[in-house]
Amino acid sequence: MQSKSSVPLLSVEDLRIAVGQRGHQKEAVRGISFDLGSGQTFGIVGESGSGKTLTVLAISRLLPSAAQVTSGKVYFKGEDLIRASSTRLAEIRGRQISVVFQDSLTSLNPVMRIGTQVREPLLLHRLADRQDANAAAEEELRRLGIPDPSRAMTGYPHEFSGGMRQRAMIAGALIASPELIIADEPTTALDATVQAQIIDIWSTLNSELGVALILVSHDLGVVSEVCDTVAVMYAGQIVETGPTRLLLSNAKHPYTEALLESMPSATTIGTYRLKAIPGEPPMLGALPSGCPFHSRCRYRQEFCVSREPRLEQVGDRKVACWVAQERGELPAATAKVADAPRTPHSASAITSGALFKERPTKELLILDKVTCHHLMPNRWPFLPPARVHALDDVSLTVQKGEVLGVAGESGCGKSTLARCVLRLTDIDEGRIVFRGEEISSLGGEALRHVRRHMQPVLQDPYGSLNPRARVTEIVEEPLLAHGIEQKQRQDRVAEVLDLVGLGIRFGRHLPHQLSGGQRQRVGIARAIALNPELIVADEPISALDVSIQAQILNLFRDLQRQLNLSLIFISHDLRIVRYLSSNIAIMFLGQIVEYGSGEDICEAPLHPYTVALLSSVPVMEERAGRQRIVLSGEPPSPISPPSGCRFRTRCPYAAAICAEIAPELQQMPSGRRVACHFPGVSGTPNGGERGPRLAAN
Amino acid sequence: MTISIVHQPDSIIRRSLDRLAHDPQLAISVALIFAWMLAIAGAGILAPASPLAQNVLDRLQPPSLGHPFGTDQLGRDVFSRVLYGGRASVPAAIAVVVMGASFGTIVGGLAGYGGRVTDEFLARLTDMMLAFPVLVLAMAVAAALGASLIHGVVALTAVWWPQYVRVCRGLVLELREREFVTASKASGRTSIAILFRIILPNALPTLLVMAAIDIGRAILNFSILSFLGLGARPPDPEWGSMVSSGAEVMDQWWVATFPGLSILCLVFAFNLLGDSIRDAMDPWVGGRR
Repeated sequence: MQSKSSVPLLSVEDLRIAVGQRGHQKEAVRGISFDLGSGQTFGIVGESGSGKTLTVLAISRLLPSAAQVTSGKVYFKGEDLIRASSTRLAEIRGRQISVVFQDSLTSLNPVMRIGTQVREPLLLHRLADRQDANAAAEEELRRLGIPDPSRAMTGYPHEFSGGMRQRAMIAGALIASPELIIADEPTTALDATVQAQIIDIWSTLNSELGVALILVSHDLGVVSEVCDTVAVMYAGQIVETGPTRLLLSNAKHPYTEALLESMPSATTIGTYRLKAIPGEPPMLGALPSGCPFHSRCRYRQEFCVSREPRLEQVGDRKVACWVAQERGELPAATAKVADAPRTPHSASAITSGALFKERPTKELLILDKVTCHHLMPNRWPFLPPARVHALDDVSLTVQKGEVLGVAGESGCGKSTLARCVLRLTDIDEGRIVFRGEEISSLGGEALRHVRRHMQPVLQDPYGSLNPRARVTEIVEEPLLAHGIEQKQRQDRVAEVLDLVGLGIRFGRHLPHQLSGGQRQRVGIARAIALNPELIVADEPISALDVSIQAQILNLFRDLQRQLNLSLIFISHDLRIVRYLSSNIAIMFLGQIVEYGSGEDICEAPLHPYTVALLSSVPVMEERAGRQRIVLSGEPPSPISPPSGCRFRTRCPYAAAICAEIAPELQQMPSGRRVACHFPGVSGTPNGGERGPRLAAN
Repeated sequence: MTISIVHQPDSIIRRSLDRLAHDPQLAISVALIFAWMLAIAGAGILAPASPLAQNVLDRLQPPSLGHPFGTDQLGRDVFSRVLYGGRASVPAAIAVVVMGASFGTIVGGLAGYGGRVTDEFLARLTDMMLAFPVLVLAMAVAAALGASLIHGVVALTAVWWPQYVRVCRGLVLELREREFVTASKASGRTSIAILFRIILPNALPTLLVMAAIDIGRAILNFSILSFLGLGARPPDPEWGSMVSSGAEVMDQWWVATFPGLSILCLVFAFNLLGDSIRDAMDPWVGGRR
């Protein structure tokens, strides 16, 4: 793909953006420059606060009122958009540049029909009359794989799922055939399998329509699946930019390299600590001197502290790093292959196998056919409430010192599982046995006593800490609840704060004075304060920044080993679950569909849903002959699950029997259990080649 | 592990002073309330005459140097009576709000955090109370008990709490679903401890704002009760009853106007204060930085 003329489609020159009120302005974007030819795809990657969103909002002149462009130029086809009048901008927006936002629920107007919103650009720019616009909108919806587009036209946003709304937003962005689409985190709010569908749409958009694309994301994986060129932003600047493949295979900026190494891949397991980036991203207006990354950089030299590097050409790309500029690459580029966290099979056998096969085991927690249905009040009075099948017939065991991973999409019942184990939700049927004692019907004082031995770590580091309590009070709470004396309480609080890497100096802080990672450390300290035997962690890192996630994962790993904790680790991301867990349970719509050792499940999945989850993980390396399923459609409603196998409506291999008989969770020879009539069908050579892969509906 | 950002928690006094300096509305309201409190407390020193001393020869004198606010039908100094009258109105109003808000908060907390039956019972009871016009109910209670300052306070308190139940119950219903409450529960805290140690402290800011605005309303309502002859008994000075008696002599405007202005001024000040507190508590308006 090359640009037709010498003038690039979009050219950003030394863009600087400041945020805050006058007098207190802080520079959030500090001199960004890049060119984009027509038909090219450009990805911008960075953590929250890196300035990536501000940059693209400035291009379309949609900056919030608190932010201002202080200097720089944005040329779109030779025209400076920063100085363009608002009438001129209105002509360009939607017609030549379209923007797709992250949250489709808030960025679609809830009181307008989908069709009206999709066709709007055509009418605004007088490109078609009402009738033609409707026809075009319907066609666009069909092309993006929305089932029954003529009905979707008259629907309202809340009637659609997240994936469908995202499609409708893309339809609206595409309808006036713009030359440039800007997408800000367009898949972040979506479930893994739906995200895979949307990524597929973005990739085909460019190749089929030749529209130029700027994709902003915190996830290098998403960007690398879609974009030819990528820029990594840190502290308001591009630190490395170049062709995606080169950048991913051989990073030349320490930050890019650290990002790539800090996240586990589907084959990484907890034998190694993750190479987490130490520290936190710098705060706005409090940048360190010299290179903004120097305090977290492993290659730091003396002059990095005093002088700030500029973005300069280094071989095949541009890098802003003194070390890389001097040597042409990073020093450890060759050495790091040796100790990469990719695990050889022998090592994985030692951890995942030996941990609970050879050692005499003690069953700490047994779930036996646990069923939990939530009742939703019926809209009509006197009619029976609707039943949400949150958990159906779930059986599993956790051994002493074992880490059990639970993975699945939202609505699969994994959080209900956590709540049931912790006895925060009552179960309808089945038994929960903890430390040899049936706890499913305990109440009052007896339950309080049991809770001493199991503690939760909750998902949202912002919502799970009492905003009015100081750190010591939060960590002290469980100790107080179980009547431990004051002197011991103080000692224990200091001890666990140390264990989680915070230290007592944070004791007087209120939660809002801490960063997300620090808050989650407080949450973990609270959980281990009573020295429990079981910790239930429900999505504990999904709300954190990429570079912080690895730190918290390492913390979990270390604490688990140090304290010989049993851990139930719940996540939507199979990579993360795999890293920590010896056993994994995959859940779909309230049921366990596959349950076995982490190695078995990730190396040789048998259930088609497991395969789909694994292949929905955006990977940065080539998929070497891996089977890949992109599921069509959305998870079915847990209020009225499909008959027979609940997965059949999305399963590319479903046969007649699947609609009639629900498959049992059957033991396979390898020791794992699968609930599928055709286990391994996606892995067989003829079935796995491509399978009868359905286009989106 | 190095953690780069360490905030030092500011002291509350430091932050409050900082806020006063940057929020003129707050500064004005605080100054007004402070001035009134001083005047009421120092009535014994500031008042030129006893509030009860009658001087029939001096009746209905217009404002002058000797009588800054004039005199009433019985020749009593209106200025002195306004100052002493505040000693009845203001503490009574504050007592009504404090007692009503405390009782309402506890009932609301129990309704929001208790079981379904408790909630239904308390919430319906509250709805029933709210269905009556506040003043009519208060008048009925005051009339049944007999007119006196204390009975006026009791009557108003009896009708004041239901609105706090409403607001507090709503807050508790929202807060009980928050994750930090779940965390508390899982740590083994008892329900009653969670309600009083975790949930209610988080509901407090909103309720405090409501109470601050309410003090103005309580002063007004108490004055109305007195105006109707159901609060403080004559000859004790009270702003509402002073306006009431002043209304009999409309030609001598000063008799009713000055106690009326006092009510207006203090109600205004408390409304401003409540407004500022609300802004300070609301992160979107720029309370926390």
